Amino acid sequence: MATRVLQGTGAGATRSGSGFPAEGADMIRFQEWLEMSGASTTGEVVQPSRGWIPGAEYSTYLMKAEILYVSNCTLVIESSPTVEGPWQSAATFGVPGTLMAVLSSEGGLSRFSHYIRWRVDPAAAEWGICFQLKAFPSKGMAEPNMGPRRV
Amino acid sequence: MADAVVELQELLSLRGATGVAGVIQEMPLWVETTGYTTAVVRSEHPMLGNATLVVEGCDVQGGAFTTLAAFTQSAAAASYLYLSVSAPYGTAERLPTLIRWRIDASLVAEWNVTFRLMLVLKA
Repeated sequence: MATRVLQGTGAGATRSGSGFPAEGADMIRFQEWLEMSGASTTGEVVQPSRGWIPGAEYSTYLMKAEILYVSNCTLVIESSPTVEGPWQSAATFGVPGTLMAVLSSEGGLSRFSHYIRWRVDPAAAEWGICFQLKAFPSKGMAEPNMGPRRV
Repeated sequence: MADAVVELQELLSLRGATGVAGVIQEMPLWVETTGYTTAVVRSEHPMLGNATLVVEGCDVQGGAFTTLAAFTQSAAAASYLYLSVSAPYGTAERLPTLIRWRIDASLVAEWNVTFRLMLVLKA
């Protein structure tokens, strides 16, 4: 996120990001800090489509969820081959903390197909959640060499 | 260098579970004040429940941050913090090179905060 200068040129008032590796070109700010709560009758909350990740360019995503608060709901990362669906769960987060999940296009429980989005799935009770999400894409994962090798 | 008004943090609401100690503004969003002589931090914090909003500074990347101001729930519409590179100043009033915010929350209760921080920098 660039520095937002409201008045003046602010040439010297820079964000300090350039010197830190934490937010490089390969990090997607999937969701900024968001705090939501709902009544017991509320249905699911789905991320607006403008924030979905068109994931086909990469084969693996490390999904980092920072959850400060969660009550009576779960945060679901889900994926679909098309915009219309069907959407399938790729990872679920339901407790506070810094949590990770690896999504792979090559199979497994955390498989993603193309589009990636988040969804909050509430229980039948008042619910609340406060979280942010970052995605770290990768072209591929090195496979462990379990067999014999030349020396 | 021209004066500037920077949003150190847009209006933000956070809520934390019992046992979550707080949160620190992410490094890429810290503001560097090199070239400026004075600064005013304007804090609007309509809700600071079971938590303290701390504005802190550091002169060297990787160095230790020291508290410049700690805001708690109050009836005031806004609170101000004055910073300057020129003496006389106390420890809490010296303009550091890097400025960030941190939420220092209670570990024994749920907490929730709503705040925004503006930073006025003068060359």
